[in-house]
Amino acid sequence: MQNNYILKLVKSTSYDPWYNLALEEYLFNKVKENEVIFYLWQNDNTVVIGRNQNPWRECKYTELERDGGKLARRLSGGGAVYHDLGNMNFTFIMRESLYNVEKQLQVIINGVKKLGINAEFSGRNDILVEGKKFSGNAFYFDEGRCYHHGTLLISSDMSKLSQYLQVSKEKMESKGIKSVQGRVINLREINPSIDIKKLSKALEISFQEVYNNSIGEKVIMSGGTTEFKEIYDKYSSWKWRYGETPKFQISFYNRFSWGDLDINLNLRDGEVVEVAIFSDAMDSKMIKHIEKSLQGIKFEKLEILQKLKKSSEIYDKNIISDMENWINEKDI
Amino acid sequence: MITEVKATRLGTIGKINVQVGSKISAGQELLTMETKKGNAVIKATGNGIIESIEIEEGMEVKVAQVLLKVREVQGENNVGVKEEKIKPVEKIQSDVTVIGGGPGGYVAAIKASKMGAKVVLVEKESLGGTCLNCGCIPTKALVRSAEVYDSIKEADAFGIAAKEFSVDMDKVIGRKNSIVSRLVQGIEYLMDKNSIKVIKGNGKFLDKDTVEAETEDKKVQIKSKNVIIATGSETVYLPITGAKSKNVLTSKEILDLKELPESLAIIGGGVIGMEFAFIFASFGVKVSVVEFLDNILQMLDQDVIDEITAAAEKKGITLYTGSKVEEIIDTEDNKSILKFTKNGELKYISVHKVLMSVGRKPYLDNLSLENAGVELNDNKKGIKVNLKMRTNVPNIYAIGDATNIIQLAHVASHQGIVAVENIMGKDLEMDYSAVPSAIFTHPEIATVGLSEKAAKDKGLDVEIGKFPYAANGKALTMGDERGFIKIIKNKATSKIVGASIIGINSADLISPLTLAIRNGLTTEQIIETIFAHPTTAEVIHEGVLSVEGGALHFAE
Repeated sequence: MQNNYILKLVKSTSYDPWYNLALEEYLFNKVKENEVIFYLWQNDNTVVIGRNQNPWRECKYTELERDGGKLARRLSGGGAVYHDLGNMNFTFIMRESLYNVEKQLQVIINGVKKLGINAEFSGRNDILVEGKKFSGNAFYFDEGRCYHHGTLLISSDMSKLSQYLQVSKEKMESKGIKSVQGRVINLREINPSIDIKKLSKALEISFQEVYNNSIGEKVIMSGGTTEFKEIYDKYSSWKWRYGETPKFQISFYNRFSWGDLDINLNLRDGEVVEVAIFSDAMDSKMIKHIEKSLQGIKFEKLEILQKLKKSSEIYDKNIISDMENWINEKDI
Repeated sequence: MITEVKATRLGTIGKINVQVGSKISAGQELLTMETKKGNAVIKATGNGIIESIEIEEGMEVKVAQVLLKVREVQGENNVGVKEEKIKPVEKIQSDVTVIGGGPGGYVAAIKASKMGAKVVLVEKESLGGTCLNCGCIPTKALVRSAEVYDSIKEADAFGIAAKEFSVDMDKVIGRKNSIVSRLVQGIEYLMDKNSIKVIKGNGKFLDKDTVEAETEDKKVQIKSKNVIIATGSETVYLPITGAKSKNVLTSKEILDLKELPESLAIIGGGVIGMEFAFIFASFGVKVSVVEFLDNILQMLDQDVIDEITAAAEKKGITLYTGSKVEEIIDTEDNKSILKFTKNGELKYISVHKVLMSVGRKPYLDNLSLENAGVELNDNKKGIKVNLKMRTNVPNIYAIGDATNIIQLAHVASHQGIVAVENIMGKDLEMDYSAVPSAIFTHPEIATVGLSEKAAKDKGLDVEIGKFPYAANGKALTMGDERGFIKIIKNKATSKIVGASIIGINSADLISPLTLAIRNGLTTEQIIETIFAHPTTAEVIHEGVLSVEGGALHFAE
């Protein structure tokens, strides 16, 4: 077999998803010909959504952020995942000519086998043990380079996972990619002695076995971003995390003591591009005013509330305050 | 100049980062697309302005579908003329190289891989070929939508009240697309699982042992011990004025028609033409069929033709047989006038769309057959092969529509298997004596083996048995009692040599008869077989009984 790859192992000691994803993109941009990079990383208390997903729809980001967690958007496609320190991520990065999904999966499958796990690939981008998923995989291509990354559930907090990955109850029509729920399992349920360190070691060995070579370069990254500050800024920005959402529409309806209210928003790039409000109680001037005030704002609860507050300077305070309370309770 | 940005894979459109009128520069991200292989970024190749956006976020797209149109702008410091990039050449080897990933090619590839060969498949568009992407499968998706619509129209007769229903062509096409993409992904998966290397690009011969596949960014030269040509066929246009005018569609384009035309003229009353005639007539389109021969579906026996002709007329389809189309003329109000002669008399019809379905011819463009010395048939249509599917060049085989023998997906698949068996050292020949075929009109038609016509032309002494669907209980419960089965027996051997069925489920009923003919079953053996009751398959039993002195449940 061909054996002229240079194997490079990169580990990040940061648990910040924006840093780790920025590092991933940086490594991707810089990958050399004949180089196979195997990158291991962990995020704490994070929901990572796919490139073309809608965070408003796919997760409880308000609860996540309230609990000190972070929302991140990755470059690859697919659905939303939850990461904590009971989960480890891997990424294979290389030029297209060296890209071989089966081989890459073999590294993972052989690696966990060393720890007594008999895993198999589902053909649906998941790696399974006993029919349940412990690893979700996704892929990204650009300019002849590829990456293949995935999660590895070892001892994640399943209650948090299902809490944050709930689909929004609000009435939404979203053009983005929707997540698919699957039955998941922590590897520790199969082998209680597994921990991150052991798994990481096993994967390191398996990586060298499958590629039939020894690691030529090892890099530990611990959080400095001078070389890829711009990329980090992208991952941490509202514009990337929320603003890159495909078009969607959301409607809110409620019957108040003073009458019906129906608010419909059209959103592009996470911003309100169209507003239509219907109400049998408000006069058309007030409706026009509120519609106009919401036009063009970022779709954030705080922004909406601020705009409403302003309207209360001109219009019926009671109605506005009812609306504020109502919006405040919304799952957005 | 306007350039089209096309999809290179099947996938779902993700975030679109430009709008109509956006200024773009080379390398800028235009949109992302999620494919089975992962998320991919589509970038601008030059500077320009977005002229139009042909897709939406969340939409499924096919290979080669146009995503955006870009008006190229030649900036002051931007050289307008693009340099012809010299592509790098990669050299690989294979035991079997298959050119074309349709039902012939991809089945051959899997078979060869299963038999231990190292296989490379070259396909420039979508795996699955015409059959899966713009033929058999998509039309059947439309047939099904038409059936559902017909069922609702007839609901009252079944005691069901249905109000306010209509055809949403956008959804009909969307459903069709999602079926197609599921099947294409299924084939991609099979290729993966069977370790078949699929190269996306045009394949051509450099010499008899080397196929060159040109992809977007490189040329792959495949040194091949054996090559199977499975390049399929393409629509034939009539050599008349206006044949490609703006309202003329082929079977490929009509499958993406998202709005129903008020009227549709179909040139050619063959299988493709008649399937579309029934689909669009069901959807409420005013359909006319103009056929050169004296009958629609001329290859069938006259009794079958009479039955389907009556069904077509009842459906409101206007049939002009024995009619030669002379010209297609655009009108000022966006319609077309079809000018044709019938019995020496000029006739005109005015329609909104025209379907060109006069046949298909082998697609051998850009294949450079001459470099390999592969010969064509005497009529220069299709590649000449023997019954082992081998061409005049010993290591080169050809299968499917490219050979112009029988244009059927399942024949192509079978030919592919025969070709591979021979490559792998077995001695196998094609046997065309029991080839089933189905026509998805309403009612369906299916035939296998000899027709009555063909048997008589051959001078074969045959006995015929017929049985009407009207005497079949299951057909009555399903509310469609049209049609009949016809069984043809060779008197000398008592074996069944042919069958035609027109009626509900006939396409599914042809398989047991194919088994019977292929294995030389006699009428007696079939009579002794128990058929489940109540099923439409009982017509087979009764049909065979009627060859031998009379059906049980029918008396003339």
